[in-house]
Amino acid sequence: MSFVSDLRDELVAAAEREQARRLPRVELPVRQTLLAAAAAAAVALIVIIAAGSLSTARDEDGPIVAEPTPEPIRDLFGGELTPDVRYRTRALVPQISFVVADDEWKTTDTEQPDVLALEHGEGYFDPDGERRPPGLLVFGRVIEVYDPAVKRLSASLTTAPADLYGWYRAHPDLRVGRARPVTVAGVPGQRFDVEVDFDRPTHPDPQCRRLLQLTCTALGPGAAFQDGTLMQLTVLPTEPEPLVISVEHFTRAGLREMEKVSAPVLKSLRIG
Amino acid sequence: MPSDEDLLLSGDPEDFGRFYDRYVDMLLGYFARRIHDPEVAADLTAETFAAALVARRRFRRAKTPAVAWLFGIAQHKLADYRRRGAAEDRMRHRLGVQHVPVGEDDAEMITLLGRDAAWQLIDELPADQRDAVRAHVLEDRTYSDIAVESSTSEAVVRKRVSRGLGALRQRMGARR
Repeated sequence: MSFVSDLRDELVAAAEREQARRLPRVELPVRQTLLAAAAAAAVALIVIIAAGSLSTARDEDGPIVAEPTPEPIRDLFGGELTPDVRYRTRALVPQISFVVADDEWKTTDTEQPDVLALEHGEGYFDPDGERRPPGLLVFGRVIEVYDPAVKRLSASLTTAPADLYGWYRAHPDLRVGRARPVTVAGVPGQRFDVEVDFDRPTHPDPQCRRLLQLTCTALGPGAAFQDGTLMQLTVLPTEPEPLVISVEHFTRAGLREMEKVSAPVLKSLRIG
Repeated sequence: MPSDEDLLLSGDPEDFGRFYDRYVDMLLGYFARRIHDPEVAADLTAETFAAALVARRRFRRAKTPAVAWLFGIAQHKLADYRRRGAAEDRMRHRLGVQHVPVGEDDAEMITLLGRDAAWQLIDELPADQRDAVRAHVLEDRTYSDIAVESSTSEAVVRKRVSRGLGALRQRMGARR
């Protein structure tokens, strides 16, 4: 069967290239490595000093820090994202721009005005046979929600409350942690942890079932979550609606990793 | 004989080839059974192994068997295919893996693998596990749908699928 053997050759060759790509760094002579490190440190210092003298910006959670050198700016389309490029959304309201720091990010749908999901890594198959998506960093506006007190899905649709944190806390399918103050992109807001936890969802999401063959709880139009989803939510009071930033995964370790890889993206975030 | 996990995490490129040898037929059969198009099954198989090659440094030995991890990637690729209507080639492109054409003989073999591979293994499971795994894994039906049809609870169906997959993993291990 030539396909099988030819594909094998291609993959082994790719594995060799991957291996070779990593080896030279390790095999650099000590002197050369030290010189390279010294040069890199000098360049970094120059960049920091130069950037610091030009401008400053308030970063997530933090004090005044040096702004990095300007990155090339691209409009955001679907596909794999390149590190160190500033991507500017075309459809999302409010418009945002951001930079990713590693090459594991991709996005598929960039045409929605209400939501933008960035995926990190690959999906997987958990030991119970449930398909789990990759880690997600989602930017979205919550305009409408399904009121959990009203049984029928279509009848339960209502305008999102002003107190989103209170609404999440009261939802029977969610376990919500304490809210803490946070500043992202210069906007002060709230951050809290959420765990999706249901035996039967209050409102099963019909799209999730029809398209993905999964059982999800529908919190609002386009916002459906599988049991066990772990999220770190940040709510920023932007106009016209609050911007909700969600870091998602299905395991604690995965969420911690997602928080880690999302941190540079959020640090680089600009709104409007 | 090295385990799947050893082969996956090895620095020797040829070990990835050995890991591929163990599962390529099963993966082709898995996709062929669901897509009924040998060329797409071949594309999805190639993309799944390419994704596994890229992501293997993130594989954690203790968390899940390597074969379950591989099939997790496969299921994700399948869902992507259904959503987009085309098999993506992102990982192959990233690795510089060339498109491998599927000849007539290849297509025939992939079709046969689709008929035989998955069903052979699943047929050997106890009846309740076999039915649950068939319905959920091969036919993509939800736990709740299967529970309604078999007049049992969703938790019982989940347990049957979980046990069935566990037994399959052991069986696949025994055939290495």
